[in-house]
Amino acid sequence: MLDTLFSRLKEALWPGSEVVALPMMDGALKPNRRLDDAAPIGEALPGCDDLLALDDGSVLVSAGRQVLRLSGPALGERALWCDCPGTVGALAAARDGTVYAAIAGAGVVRIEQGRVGARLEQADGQPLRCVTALAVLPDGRVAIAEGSSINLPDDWTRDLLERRAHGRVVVASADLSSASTLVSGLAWPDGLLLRGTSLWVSEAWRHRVQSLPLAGGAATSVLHNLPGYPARLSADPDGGAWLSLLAVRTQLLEFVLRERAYREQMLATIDPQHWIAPSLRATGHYLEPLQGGAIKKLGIVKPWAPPRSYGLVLRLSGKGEIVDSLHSRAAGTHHGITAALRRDGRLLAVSKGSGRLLDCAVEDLR
Amino acid sequence: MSVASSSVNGGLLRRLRYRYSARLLLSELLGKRWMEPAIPFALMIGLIVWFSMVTTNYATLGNAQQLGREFAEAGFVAIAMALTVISGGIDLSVGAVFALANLAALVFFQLYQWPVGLVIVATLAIGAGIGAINGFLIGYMRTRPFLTTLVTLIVLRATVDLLGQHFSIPLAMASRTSWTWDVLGVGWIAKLPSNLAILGIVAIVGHFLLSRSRPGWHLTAIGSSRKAARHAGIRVERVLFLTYVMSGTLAAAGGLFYAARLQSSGSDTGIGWEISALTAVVLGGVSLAGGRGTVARALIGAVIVFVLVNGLVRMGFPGALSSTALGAVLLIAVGIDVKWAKNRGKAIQKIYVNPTMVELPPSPSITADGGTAFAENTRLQASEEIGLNQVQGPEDIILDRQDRLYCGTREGWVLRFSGPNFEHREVFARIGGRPLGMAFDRDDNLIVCVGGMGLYGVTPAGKIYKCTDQTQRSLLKLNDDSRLRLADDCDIAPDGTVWFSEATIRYEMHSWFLDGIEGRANGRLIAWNPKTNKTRTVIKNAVFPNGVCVAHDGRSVLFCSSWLCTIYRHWIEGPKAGQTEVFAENLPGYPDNLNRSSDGGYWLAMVGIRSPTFDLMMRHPDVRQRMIKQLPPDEWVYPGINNGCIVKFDESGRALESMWDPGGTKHATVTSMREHKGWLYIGGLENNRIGRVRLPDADPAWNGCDAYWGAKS
Repeated sequence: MLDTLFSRLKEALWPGSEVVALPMMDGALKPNRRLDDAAPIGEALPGCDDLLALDDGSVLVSAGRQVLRLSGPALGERALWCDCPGTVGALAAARDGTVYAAIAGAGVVRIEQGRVGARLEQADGQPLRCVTALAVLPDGRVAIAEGSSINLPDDWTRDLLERRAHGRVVVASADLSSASTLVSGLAWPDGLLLRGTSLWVSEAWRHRVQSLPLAGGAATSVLHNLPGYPARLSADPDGGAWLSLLAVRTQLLEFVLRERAYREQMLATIDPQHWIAPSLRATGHYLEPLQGGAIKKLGIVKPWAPPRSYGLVLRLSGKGEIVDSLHSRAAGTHHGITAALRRDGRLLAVSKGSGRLLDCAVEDLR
Repeated sequence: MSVASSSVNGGLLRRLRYRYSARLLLSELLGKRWMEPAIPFALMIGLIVWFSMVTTNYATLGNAQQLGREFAEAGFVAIAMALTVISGGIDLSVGAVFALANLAALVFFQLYQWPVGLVIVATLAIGAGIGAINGFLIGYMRTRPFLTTLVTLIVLRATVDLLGQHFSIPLAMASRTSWTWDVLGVGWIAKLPSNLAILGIVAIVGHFLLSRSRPGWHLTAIGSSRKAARHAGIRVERVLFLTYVMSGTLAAAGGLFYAARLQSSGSDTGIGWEISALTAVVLGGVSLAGGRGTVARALIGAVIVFVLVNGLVRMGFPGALSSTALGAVLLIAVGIDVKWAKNRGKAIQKIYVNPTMVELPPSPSITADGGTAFAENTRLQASEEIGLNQVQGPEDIILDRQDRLYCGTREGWVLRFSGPNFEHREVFARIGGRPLGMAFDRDDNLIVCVGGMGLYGVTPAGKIYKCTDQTQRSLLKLNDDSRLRLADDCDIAPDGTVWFSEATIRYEMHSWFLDGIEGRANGRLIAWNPKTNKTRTVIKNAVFPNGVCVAHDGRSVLFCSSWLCTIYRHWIEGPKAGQTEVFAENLPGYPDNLNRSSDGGYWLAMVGIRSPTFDLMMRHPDVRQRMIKQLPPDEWVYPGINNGCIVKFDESGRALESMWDPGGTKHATVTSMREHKGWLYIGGLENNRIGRVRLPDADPAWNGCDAYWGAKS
């Protein structure tokens, strides 16, 4: 408490002096190649975003304007399950098999048997244009995370660099006929997970996961000062959870976030793909900002180079402690993990950056 | 884009602010050794001015002469103390030696009636003898200087007391006078009090001995680290012995003048002088840790102490209070000394890099379908590898008349590849430093720019010789820029003059990028004439001059300015001789080495592509400053050097074509290329290979040696 107060005071008096230390990638966060070593499932799937396990053992994947159904041994069979009216993002299923899907710029739709049904386009008079995550509550209502009321899902780096906190969590009725805001002022909520009577919400730009009581009341911290930007959460049958991260924080980006004039000029005059910003995809393009540690020496980029994009999935215990992690470092390609799903003793992960579904080996916790 | 950002960045004032940086001056000032006693010097002047203002008749010639006479004795003792402190020890017995010398001189002169010359010699010999005892114990027996000289102090003090009682009555009755004795005590030399004049001479000689002579350097080296000095072959014992002999002699000289001036053998003579001397020495900036200090600093400190004590007494403060004040000053001085010695380097480091504003116009199009000569392609990716994983960082490459391929590496070697497919690798020369640009002269000697060393040559037999490692010093630069710090690339004009660039005079090879962060005009274009062995700075204030190439007709020299993305042409012959003009500007990347092509044009290695975020950062010097302060170097933004690009220009500076390896899959950070018999060879500062690509339209017989010096049988 006092520490926070002093650091706030220091930051107010001498802006930039309070350099917040990024967490070390050590302990449970120790880097490995487990995402790089993971076998891709099937052909590349550009734009793949979220995963959803169905009761019949198949898996739904959102990609572009489609939701695909993967089934069969090793999920080798792919079939179109639903055509959507826009780019599909988050997916969630109710007990009765109804699927809810987020449509970029258009809100949430209800899908029954592969048919698009009811829509929710606004809540409390505010349009829902940037739904990032969905969760179905025990009573059948749907919790909806809206990343930002300003920017669309694909403009997430702009939202980060504009230092926005315009996100909210909305709860809608099962038939999507009504909706109300549960909490607002969040910095890009990007993942929801039901935990008993609370909802875990990952808040990307604040690098934290909070637990939000559904009955109302103050949020409590589950995880804070994460090494990256937390995105979707999913439950593990053993009581734990999986948290995927869009990218990891770098000291350079934290620095740019403190440099207002430079940041604003960059946003105003430079093509977004060449900003100093995290990225889902590793391109290594020469117009992107190059950091000193990422210079090719003797033909290779070091794996520990400051990463523009990164692949990271964290395994959380039931209490929210980080117990394990899967990585794809700077030299790898399976970056930009947007969803992870535990299934049949394996972990399925979506690497949106490389446009691949990954099948990762994970062990059961004792 | 440019309109918007230039209006945001502000106008002329802002530019001027970054063009001339007071911080830059301060950082270079602090780096000078003679700036170390700046604070004591200012304090000394301040005290003198202050006492002149608050004390009547202080700033008069008579008073100054009087004070000077009193000061001189303390000055000798301070120098004595300084010598031992610089050697890493201390001499606490200086006050006692002073007192003993005073008594001895009086006894020799008054009671024994010796001639003055003999009195001087005998008194100094006593001091030297006591110093020799200290020196023997400390130097040869390795006792602790503090304890040893403390013991000497106590023993001598007791001796002085005993002898003083014994001689006090006869001395009080004695009344011998002599002209020479009076000259020593109250005489004048060139309108200065005699003792002050002699102190001045001793100080000047001592200063030069200490700072400009071998024994002085040995003394300082021992003070810095006794062990290291021993390993370096310095005779530590003897030097220490002589140091204490000198110290004793100087203290005795002080006592001699005191005796001649006051003719008094009072028992309190010299009491506490070791403390004032120590205060003086530390105040002046002689480090108690040893190895750092000069005679001048000791005297500055002595003046401060003397003026302070004398002034306080004059203002009517009781003696005890002025002693306390002295103690407090000593405490503060020691504290500052420790902090300053520890943090000076850091303070300089913090303010050494001074970014300036570099505003480049919007970059020309480089997209594959952009239609410019710079359009991206993949032609370099078809290269053949030479010496893959056998070479580390071939910054420049060159081929000789026998088609052998040479390159400098980061180990400081020049490697040679020969055989039909260049599979035979040998170390041609181990020069050291960081071999960079290369050229062959008329006699097939390989001339190499070596970062950190200068311009070197290697004969065909592999013998290394130095061409030049310094040029004339700029008069208006604080930093001594006569040494070559980062010779980068060279080429040879028809008259044999080697034209070479020195990329920066402020940074070393390993920190070249700090010069990029700074973006200042820190580099030079230099010419070395092998016939006269004269080195001449031709262009000062070039912004990271990199590649150098003598034009095909030999009448001008082309050189690149990396951070300005510009190539210049400097005329060395003809009507425009001495003039510099732009050859090509606003390149889409950072130009590195430049070499002739067979069709009368020039190849340019583009080491990196201008990334928009870095371009924007170059317009924000303050952001760069904070970036290097707050982030580790691995996190800094660099230009896009993970890329390979070579551009060809014609004689008029028009870009004709480019060859790319986008992303640098095979050739990242391309710093050089050489055309040779229909192939283009490619080198890279950080690469693990040399590459070559076939040039289908090139003259298959053309090679550099023939083009420069004509065919040889």
